[in-house]
Amino acid sequence: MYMEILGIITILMALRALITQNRAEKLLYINVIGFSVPAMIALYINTPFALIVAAVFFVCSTISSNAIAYTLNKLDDEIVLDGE
Amino acid sequence: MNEIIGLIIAAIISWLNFVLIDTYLGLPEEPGVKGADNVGHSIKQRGGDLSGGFFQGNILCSPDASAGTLLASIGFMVIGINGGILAAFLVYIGNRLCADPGYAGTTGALTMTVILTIFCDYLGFKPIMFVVGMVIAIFVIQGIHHPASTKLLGTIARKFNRYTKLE
Repeated sequence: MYMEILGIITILMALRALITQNRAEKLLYINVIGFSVPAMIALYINTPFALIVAAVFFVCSTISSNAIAYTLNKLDDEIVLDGE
Repeated sequence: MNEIIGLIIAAIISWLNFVLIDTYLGLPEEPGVKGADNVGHSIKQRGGDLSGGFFQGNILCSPDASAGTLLASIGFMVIGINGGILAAFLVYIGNRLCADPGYAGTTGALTMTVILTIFCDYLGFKPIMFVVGMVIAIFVIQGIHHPASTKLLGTIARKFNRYTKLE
């Protein structure tokens, strides 16, 4: 039952992130996935090493979200050059 | 302990643990990094609350008490009380890797370890309920409707006198 609940949350958030246009909103939905996947890892592995794997995944996903969030404003000024 | 009721109670307790600790330690007051600032203003543009938006941005950009709660629950589930303490240490490392000088994550992990010891060893809950409960709690905050959840977080921030003074 618990794995199913986590799976449904993950899929719902993935679909929502795919559909929504706003970039910051997408990032928040993906952050929920960044919580549910470590939980699924821990439930599946279920040994002491699962804590390390889950923590590493979580911290890495947070670092990359941090980097992406930093650049959110800067993309609006980009200039696109069509092939000349 | 009935599984569904236990799961709902665990979700509420996880939600309270991370929201109250994060609010008390000042997450709604200002963005810890530039990314949190961007997210906060984006939510404000969509009709949300700025203080709640900074809270959401701080959750996104660095391990905070929500991370501490989740990892402490996982640690307690697989190892026991030592797992909760180890999780606090791992969250501390994660904070410093994300250039966050705060202690919200470690505090959240340690308080959650205490809560888990009380609920799982004496009240008949299972640690897995708290792991899934924490994911449900973060889904409620970040996965349903951002303007509404930020308004709730902003109200809680006002009660704790942590509302942001920035614009």
